Amino acid sequence: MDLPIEILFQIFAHVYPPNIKKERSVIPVLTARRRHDARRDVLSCSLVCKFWNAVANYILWTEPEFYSTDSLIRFIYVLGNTTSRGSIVKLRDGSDNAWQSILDYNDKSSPDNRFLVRRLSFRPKVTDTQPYFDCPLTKYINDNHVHILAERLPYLTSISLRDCTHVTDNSVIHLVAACSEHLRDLDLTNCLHITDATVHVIASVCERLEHLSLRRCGKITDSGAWRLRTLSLKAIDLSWCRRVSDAPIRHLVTGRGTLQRALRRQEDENETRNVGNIRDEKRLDGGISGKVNNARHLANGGRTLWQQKGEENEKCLDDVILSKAGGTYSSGMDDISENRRCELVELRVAGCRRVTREGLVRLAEELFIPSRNPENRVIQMETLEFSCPTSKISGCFKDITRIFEILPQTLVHLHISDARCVPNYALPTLAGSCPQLKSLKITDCPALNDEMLSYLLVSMTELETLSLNKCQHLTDDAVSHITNSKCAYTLVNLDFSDCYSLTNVAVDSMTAVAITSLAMASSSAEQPLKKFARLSRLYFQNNQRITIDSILHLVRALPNLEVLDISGCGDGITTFAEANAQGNVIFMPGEWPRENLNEIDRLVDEYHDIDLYQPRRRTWFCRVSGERLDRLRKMPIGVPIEMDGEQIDGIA
Amino acid sequence: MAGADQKMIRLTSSEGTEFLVERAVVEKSVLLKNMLEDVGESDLGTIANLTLLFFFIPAIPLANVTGPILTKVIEYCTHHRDDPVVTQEDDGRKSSADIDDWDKEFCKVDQGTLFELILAANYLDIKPLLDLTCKTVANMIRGKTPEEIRKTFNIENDFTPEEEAQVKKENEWCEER
Repeated sequence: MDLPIEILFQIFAHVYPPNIKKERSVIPVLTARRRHDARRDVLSCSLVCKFWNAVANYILWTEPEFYSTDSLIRFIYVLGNTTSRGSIVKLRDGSDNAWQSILDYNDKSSPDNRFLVRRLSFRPKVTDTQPYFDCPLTKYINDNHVHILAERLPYLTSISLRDCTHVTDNSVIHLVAACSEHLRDLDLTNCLHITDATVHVIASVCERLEHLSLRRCGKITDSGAWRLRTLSLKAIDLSWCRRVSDAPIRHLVTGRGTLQRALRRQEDENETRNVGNIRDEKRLDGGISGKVNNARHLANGGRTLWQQKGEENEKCLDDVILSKAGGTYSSGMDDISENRRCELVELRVAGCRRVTREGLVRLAEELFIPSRNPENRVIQMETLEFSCPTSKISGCFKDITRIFEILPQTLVHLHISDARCVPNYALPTLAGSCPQLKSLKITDCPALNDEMLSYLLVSMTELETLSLNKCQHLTDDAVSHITNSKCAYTLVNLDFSDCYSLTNVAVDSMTAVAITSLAMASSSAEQPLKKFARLSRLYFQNNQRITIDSILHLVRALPNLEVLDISGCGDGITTFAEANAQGNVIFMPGEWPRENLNEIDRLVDEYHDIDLYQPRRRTWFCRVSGERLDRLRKMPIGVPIEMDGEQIDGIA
Repeated sequence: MAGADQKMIRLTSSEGTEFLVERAVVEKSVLLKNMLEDVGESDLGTIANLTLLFFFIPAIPLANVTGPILTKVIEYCTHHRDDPVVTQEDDGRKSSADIDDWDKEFCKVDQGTLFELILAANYLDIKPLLDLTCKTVANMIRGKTPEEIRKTFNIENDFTPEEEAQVKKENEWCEER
């Protein structure tokens, strides 16, 4: 057994994929369980021999995952109590990375595992679920924990304290300052107690920061936002920072990094060259696939792992080098990495109460009209989220149309949250300006009716996500427009939640199209003919006229459906079902369905695996099967079932 | 293009055995594909079309791959010659558990051969084959205890009891109770 280290890594990565996508089960609980089992396999591997231990540790520690508070407590305990062994001294000069620490493993000073930790997050990787063992970790984390993390984990490149509502400035500043040198992503979404003090520290010490989310940090004011201009961010999220107003955002976007850039320009020119060389050497060492290097590649007889894996892994394995070179984008971008560093691609400023419509339009003009831009070029924005503020001057609707007119062609994600004030004549403008749009989310837009939607869909042919939450003027015709449009082939997520007026007719039309196109597709054996073939998430919450019968038909017609939310749907049915090819169904009652209990029992018999979920609380219940399920079935009908995890356990 | 597909390439294994392979098959290997592109379409193509000039077809020496392994690799590439190039996104759909029947059969080889296949796939940069073989090994690891893994792969335990305890203690947080 003498496999090279990167191959061993790849094998382990198949056992326990670092990228969740690779192993997504249709059922989040199952995914979590499967991941947990997979991690135990890697844990076994870590005890096989020293060499395997080094690689397994790398997998386990680079991005630790916690499924329970117990696990987190023990992790923090280990961090606080193991005696420090060795360190990765060379890490800082960019000529080395964590792999070296593994390769040096045979030396006396084996590396300390804590130096391997790169990314830290307390939210479960399995999306849409809380840890299924117990209460959310994010509610558990407090300042003391963060202080320990700050002291013991010096090489973090990505920190997510998302939803950690108990942390305060005190510890976050400690953590940010301790990791400032390598920190690239910082997610402080929902850290309610964070104030401008933290933002000031972030702005002054985190030079390499690229992604920053301060979403819903309500205490942040203009003073903090103003300081952020010194950073060269790629993505900034200031949504729902209610006290932030126009001026700092505009300044942040257009005047970004000017000072720093001027100061660093000279230094950067030298550095990029050096780093470029370092990167090149690095690649040549491993031998990258590329036309130029083939000869060397042959001579070297192999290529290193991190070029083969996706960007995700590349980040993970080669963080330091990449951060030096200033681009997370994969190879071949060296020439423009300097530009990339300063390119803002994601801006989210929804729900800032003090952002006015005039300010928003000016911001858009400065972003997207070259002559208004200080650097005289269009910023190639990819993601934009904003809400449409009410105008104080009545009849001043032209403004928002202006934004739609000048949106860049490169835009991929557009999210208009709170579109109540978007007038109906503004929407056609939107249709023309963003043909490449992949994700369109419009929340609460009374101007959006069926005709307008069909008009939008004609030009947006590549849509993958279409979210029409709370667009209450949409009717069944809207769904039939979607079934007839081109985006029916590409849609992955479709959200009609809180539209209220959809009926079974809409669902049946989707079913019919899915079935007929499926038949056509199989007869002509052409992939793209299948409509809704890629649809994996479908939300119908609170459309009270949709009943289970049509839903059951639809579920059978959609082969790739992973999530179906029909909570709050009508006819006494408040069920949520997930179905997949393997035949697992989940019902997640808000109220236990009365009339259709037989139908559900039949499904239970058919599919065997049932899990419960209460969507309103967004918490998973324990997995229910076998004996427990029998007991559950015997529960009296008609009594609303108050389900806590404990009570379910009680049943068991 | 049928014409382009017909072009043949000579591959030489480490012992010097020569294999004549269609270009479409060879191009499954990113390494060789890039190399062929570098050499240029024209000079290679004109010679290759004349079967009489068989020996003028430039042979690509693959010093790291033995004959039997190269046979297996070519077998794999021939079977999968028409597969579309798998992008990262599509890849996400497949879990490591599902391997199609032909591939499963293909991987039923002794361990030594399997590891050599991995190395060859890595060297030649044939991602689907590398994934397949790594998956196969990963499936061999699943659900086993450390001792069973050692036995399966014939690995010697080089931990002292103290070290083993230390490792166990450090990674204890991974184990859910």
